[in-house]
Amino acid sequence: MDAAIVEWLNAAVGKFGPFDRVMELLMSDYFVPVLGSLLLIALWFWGRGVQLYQNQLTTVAAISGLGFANLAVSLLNVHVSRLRPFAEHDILIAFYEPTDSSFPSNAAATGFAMATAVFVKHRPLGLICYALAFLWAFGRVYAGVHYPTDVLAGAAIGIVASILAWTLIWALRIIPRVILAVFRRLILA
Amino acid sequence: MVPEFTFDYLFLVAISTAGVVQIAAARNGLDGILLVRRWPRATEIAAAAAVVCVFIWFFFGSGERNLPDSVAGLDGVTQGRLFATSAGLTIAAIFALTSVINERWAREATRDGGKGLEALRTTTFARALLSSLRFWSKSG
Repeated sequence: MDAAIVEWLNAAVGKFGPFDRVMELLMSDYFVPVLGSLLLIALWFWGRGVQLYQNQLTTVAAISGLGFANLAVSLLNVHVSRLRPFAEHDILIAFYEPTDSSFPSNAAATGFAMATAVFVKHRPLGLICYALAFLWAFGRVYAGVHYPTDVLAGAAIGIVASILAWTLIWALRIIPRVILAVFRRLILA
Repeated sequence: MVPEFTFDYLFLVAISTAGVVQIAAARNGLDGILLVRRWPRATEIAAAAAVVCVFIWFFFGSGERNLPDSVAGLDGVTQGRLFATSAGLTIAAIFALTSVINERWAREATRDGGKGLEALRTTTFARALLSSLRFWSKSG
């Protein structure tokens, strides 16, 4: 089933050039991460009073969520090793050939961690981030570098990581409050 | 010597960060960190254009971008580190530059903008930082 979906999607690679160009951009290692990080910078400066504070907490939650997600993926990569679809099936690769484990998808974990952190406080903006994260992950399956279960696992890790980050921020709210107060004194928050 | 790809990435982050900070400042009345304080709307448009242009240049106008980190690309950790460095230095440069450019305006300002970043509505970063540190040392 997993392989069948990859093969079915991958059959479209090379058939329609403009679509491939769009997918190349979306699946890039740089497009969604840079866009998401710029959004977090914008949130840091956006709003007044309580809204500004909430936006800055969102940035803190997103950075923490990304940290947790990357840690989880790194730990899983030590114990789980899965070959990439292009290494096991006769498919046309539309990306470079990564050498690390296919499971779980780091791209999906990163994208969904960022989207979840934003979605908690900013629903419309969070939905846009989810759409970008989905397209990033979809692109990797389309290109033949991930199985759908790799990106599903990555997405789950990302979502859980950011929920954990927000839970910690709420539970230990005095710590982010003190950190942001120090930053505020230094005119950095 | 910084590899060309790394340099391009640092440039993308620097220009887009500067653009995003200027858009956020213009939209939220943080006049103290605006590079062109007199025309916030024009600054916003120019900043948005700069962000779009640098993205187009990086992804479409300057060679292959889907490269493995074993060849010329950047792995996730390096990418994160370079982003933080480039974005941090760019924001520091904006704070320093606008502290000089907007010094006269800040000297003449009479209103109090608030605490933290909100102080930048009525003064420059350098003046707000000095005032905050002075207050801190007095109360400490």
